[in-house]
Amino acid sequence: MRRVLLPLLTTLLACAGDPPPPAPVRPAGALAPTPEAVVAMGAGAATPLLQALARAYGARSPTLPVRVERSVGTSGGVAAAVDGAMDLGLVGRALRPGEAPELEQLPIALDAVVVAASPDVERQGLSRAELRSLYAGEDVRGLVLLLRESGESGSECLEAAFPELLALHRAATASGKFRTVDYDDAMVHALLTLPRTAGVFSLGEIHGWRLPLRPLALDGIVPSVAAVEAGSWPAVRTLRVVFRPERRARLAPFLAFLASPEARAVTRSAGYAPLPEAGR
Amino acid sequence: MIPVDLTRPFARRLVPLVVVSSGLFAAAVPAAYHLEGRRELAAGARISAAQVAHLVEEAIRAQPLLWRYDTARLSEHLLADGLGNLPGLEVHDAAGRRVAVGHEAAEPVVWGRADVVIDGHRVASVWAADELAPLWQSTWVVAAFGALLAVVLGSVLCLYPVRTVARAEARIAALLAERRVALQEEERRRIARELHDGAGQALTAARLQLLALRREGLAAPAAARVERHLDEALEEVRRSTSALLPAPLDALGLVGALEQHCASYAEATGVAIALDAPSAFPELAPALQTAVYRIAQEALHNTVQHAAASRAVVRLQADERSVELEVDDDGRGFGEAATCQSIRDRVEDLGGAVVWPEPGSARLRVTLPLGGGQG
Repeated sequence: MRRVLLPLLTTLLACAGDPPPPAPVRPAGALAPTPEAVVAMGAGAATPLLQALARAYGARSPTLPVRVERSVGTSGGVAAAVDGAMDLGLVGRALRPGEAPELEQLPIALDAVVVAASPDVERQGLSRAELRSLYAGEDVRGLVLLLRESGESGSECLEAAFPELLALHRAATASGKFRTVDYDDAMVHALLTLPRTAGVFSLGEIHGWRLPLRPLALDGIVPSVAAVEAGSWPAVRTLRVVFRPERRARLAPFLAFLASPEARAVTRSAGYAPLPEAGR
Repeated sequence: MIPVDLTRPFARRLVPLVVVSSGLFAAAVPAAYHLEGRRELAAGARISAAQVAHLVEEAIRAQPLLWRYDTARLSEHLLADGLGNLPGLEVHDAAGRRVAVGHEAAEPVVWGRADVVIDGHRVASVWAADELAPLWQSTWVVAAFGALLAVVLGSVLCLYPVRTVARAEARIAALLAERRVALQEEERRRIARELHDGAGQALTAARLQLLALRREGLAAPAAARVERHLDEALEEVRRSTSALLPAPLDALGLVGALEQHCASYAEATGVAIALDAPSAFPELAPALQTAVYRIAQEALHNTVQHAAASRAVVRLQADERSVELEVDDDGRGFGEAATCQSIRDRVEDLGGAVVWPEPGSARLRVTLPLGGGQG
């Protein structure tokens, strides 16, 4: 009897597959901070800025240096900050209503959102009409647009500046005719390897990583830190750091450094515009 | 035909058995197909989970603490490895917190799980799912074919044995009929022997003694009447003995035996009896030959005893399926009382039919199937 029942039971269990995943566990509280350094992580647009600021801060020989992990996007940075997995989340967009209300946020710089072209593109700029045509999938002198996933902070910023692009972006995503990339490194890789391509990107990242990409002018306005500071560049986003309030004491020396003139100089030299004095 | 009731009881027992067996078959085929399909889906889901677990392990090794927040990169790797469109995918870290990659399964699925183990510690678990809907669709198709096949198999499993038993039943009935004819023949032979050896010998002895008495001077008229009665009794015994004796079928065949009987009976009774039979008459089964011979014998006896006929004719013909015997005469016919039970029994035993003479007629027609009494 056992010789029959055991194989039968084994077969039935094999047919049933494995048990489904259990309900996910909600963290009871924040994780303990990393003892040897302040850890920052999040939006790719803010990553080279934070690295530059961390280097400058580290040169002061602080007791707690700042370490910047590689980009995980704004959502990843916010989630990690909420969990307490690290100290500073780097955010490339304003937090949405109800998104991580337990976090404090601090603006640190302005970043120009640009349309970056691959190195083989000779043209220097686009008109607003040509930008619309690119989003509509029409031929703009052989230029091909690479899309970011909807909700990405750079695209949101550009579409806030040019509202007609929002519907075109949705239609382009739904059409399936555009290549979509999911994170900044993938956009860089695509722009550097695919000829005659263009995509929404961060001016600060282009400067910070010294990428051989061409930020295109829009309606004759050349993207630059000066243009951002002058308010002539239409698509500007505020970069922020977010953190748990109980980490404020631990972060205080670095947060104080961020407000210093030295940090503003580092920010500008990294390709970002410091916040206006009144905006801090 | 002698009733041998085998087929119906057999069918009554067989049909429920076959219906249950066919039902089990019709259910077992799709069930086995479905279980095997689920086993394959589960194995495929485990393979997918193991592939995702490998990618998760790489991500964990690159960022031991913060990997779970770098979901865009992990999703890109999943897409690149062809794992981006799994019907369900969930990744949990060691604490059981869900990592924002993949999606919950919307429809019924089979899950496969793989753990990510680094340095002997489980650091994450991956659940990958595969859809059940296509399997259910193909299972219904298999179930339909299984049901169809079960109906066909069930029909064959019912009809073939039932027909076989029906043939055996017919064969047994024929054997019983043959056996009954043989027993009847044996009984007739025994009665004839007893008549010949008993009553016949006693009557012969009585007549010899009466002759001896007459030679010694007994000449009374009463003795002459006794002698005449004894002669009549002896003649009756001889006729009965002759009628009861086995038919010479083996030696003469059916037509020859009937010719001989018609000739001897005509000579004994003074009725002109003719036999109308084809010269090339097919050879019948022994029981059937005996039955035809005895029915003809009985019918001629009725003709002589009851119909007061001066001539009679016996017609015999056969085709591929039956043999037909007709006995007719020019007499007044014989009524229902003369419809011999022995003829009725013989015809019924062999599954035949008899047309009894109508009032005023002596035409008797018997049809017997060639299968009856077939040895």
